[in-house]
Amino acid sequence: MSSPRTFALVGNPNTGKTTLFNALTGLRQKVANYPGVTVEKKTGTGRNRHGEAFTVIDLPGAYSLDAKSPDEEVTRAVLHGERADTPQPDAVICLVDAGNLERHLYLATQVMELGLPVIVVVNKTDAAEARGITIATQKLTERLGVPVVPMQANERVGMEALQVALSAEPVKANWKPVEGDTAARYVAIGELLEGAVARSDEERLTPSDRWDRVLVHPVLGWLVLLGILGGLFFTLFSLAGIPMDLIEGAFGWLGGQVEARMAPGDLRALITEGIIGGVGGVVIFLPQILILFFFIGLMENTGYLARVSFMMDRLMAGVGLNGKAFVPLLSSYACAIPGIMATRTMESARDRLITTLIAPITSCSARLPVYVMLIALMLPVGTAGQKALVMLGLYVLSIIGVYAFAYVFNRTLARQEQTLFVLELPAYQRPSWREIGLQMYDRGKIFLRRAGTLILGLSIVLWALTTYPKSDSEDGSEQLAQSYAGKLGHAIEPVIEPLGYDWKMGIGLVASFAAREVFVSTMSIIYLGEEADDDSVRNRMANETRADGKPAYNVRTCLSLLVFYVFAMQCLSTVAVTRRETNSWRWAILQVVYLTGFAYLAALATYQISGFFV
Amino acid sequence: MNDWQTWAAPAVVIATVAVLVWKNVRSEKETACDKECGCENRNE
Repeated sequence: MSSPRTFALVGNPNTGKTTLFNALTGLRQKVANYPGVTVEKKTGTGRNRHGEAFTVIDLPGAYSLDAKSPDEEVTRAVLHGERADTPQPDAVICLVDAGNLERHLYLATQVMELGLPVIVVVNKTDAAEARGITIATQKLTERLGVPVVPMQANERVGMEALQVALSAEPVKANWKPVEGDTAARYVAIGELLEGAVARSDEERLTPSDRWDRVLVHPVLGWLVLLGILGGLFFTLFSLAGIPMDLIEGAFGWLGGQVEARMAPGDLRALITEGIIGGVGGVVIFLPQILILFFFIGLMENTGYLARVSFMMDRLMAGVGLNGKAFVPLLSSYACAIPGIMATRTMESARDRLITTLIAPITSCSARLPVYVMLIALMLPVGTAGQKALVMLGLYVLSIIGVYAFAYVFNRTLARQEQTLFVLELPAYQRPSWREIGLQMYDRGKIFLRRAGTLILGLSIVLWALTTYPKSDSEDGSEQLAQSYAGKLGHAIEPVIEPLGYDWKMGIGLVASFAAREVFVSTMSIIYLGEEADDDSVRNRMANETRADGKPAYNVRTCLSLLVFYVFAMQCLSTVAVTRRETNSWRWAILQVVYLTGFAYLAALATYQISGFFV
Repeated sequence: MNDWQTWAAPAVVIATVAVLVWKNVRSEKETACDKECGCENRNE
């Protein structure tokens, strides 16, 4: 039996390749309504009308085969059969946007010239028709001698016609190689399209154009963005309370069951305080994570995030940051690791380095549990609106940090010629609830997997550090002070005291250098182990007092901690990825030192200056 | 106090440290993206 046929999916960024890939293979790769989401090739399997399996390779978006960035190089190399890990495809599915046919055929005609059989998919025909553009795909089929299939991949319209093409023997295009420069190619494309593309005489103002008058307006656009973020955080604080209590109750019940079935002892304490307390302390923030990714998915899916990138680009140019940094920085709001990986879409090594260095300042989702816990302690009787406002302030602070450090690095690192950033604003589209739901599911799964692996492991280690060596005292507080973690907390207390922190916070601070949310699990372990009453960890922390009887988690201390967490580089995985992507320990160490150093100074300033007001 | 729990708890801790170190050493060798943050290539 012959091996399955291999098709490569090729097209400009944001033409819907990954959407089509998912439709063909039934897989769930991440899709978004902005360019640069696919930075590595992905492979999946589908079946044609005869039930025969075929392989699909989803390649990163490229504007041409003259590779300029590392991800474009992947596309070029696969098509030329130069990748040892990937066979040269048997045929290529060239995806072109119906609304920008001339420009997208630039790449498609280059692919045809490689001599590989081709199927042309004209995607987003609905959006083009809304703008008064009609394409006679039958004429193009006759001229090129290959299938030209009109589609709306997101609605799966045209899948049947594509399946017919995939089931037939692949054929090479009837296309003569273009001699000469870019202009000559556009002339040849113009001849191909002669009489095949009809445009209405008057330029229609599409609904997208009308929305854009407000949403990318230099003043109104920012107000709308702030309003949306405010709404997101308000929802976060007002809706998440009930499911959080339910999860907390479930972990409490689990701990109670273990206590009822096991005799008192070290292992029981490890299970109830270390494992259930530590992991449960983090897992209760699952509702917030899901709400955050619901909003991000909604903004991505409708095309609104591309508008945000347009507005950000104006600011980015001001600090010398390449507009292409937007996608990596946006990805970093979920997690800095895929963000740093996404810098591969950038042509200039210097731009890649600057973006990598500043990516951890964006407020990743691991910070969310820390922020929510500290804001709740800071404003114990505050409304959801007040809490949302503080959260908004933290996100704005992180954006200011990103721009400020981009400016600093742009001024200090050796200059290079600026590369051009072409930003294409996709048409707004109705959100796909399925895509948003799947993204929430994926992100929720990642969050729980992290809680069940890394956070679980670190919680066990932290429990040991707060338990050993054992003291003779029966008092939990005394025991903690005598432990390795307690001694470490006391040792660093002089350094962190000016920031308003006590030695217990110091333990959490040091532990969270492994991963930010470990601060939350550490606090759970410390406060669960310390006292024998049934009060929740949150209440115990709220009731914690200093020697002078004042609350330990007062407004000044919480503000100082929040500012520290906005800037501090507390993620070992990010350090490892920075080292891997820059191929140097030098930049990874610089990242840790400059971010943590700045976080210390910013937290110090916050605590000391807030003393004049609070 | 249960005696067996007194040695079982440190044993769990030591095993956990061993797994964490082993996973860390192994991930150093991998060139693909970190699985914890969801950017792994699920289909390759």
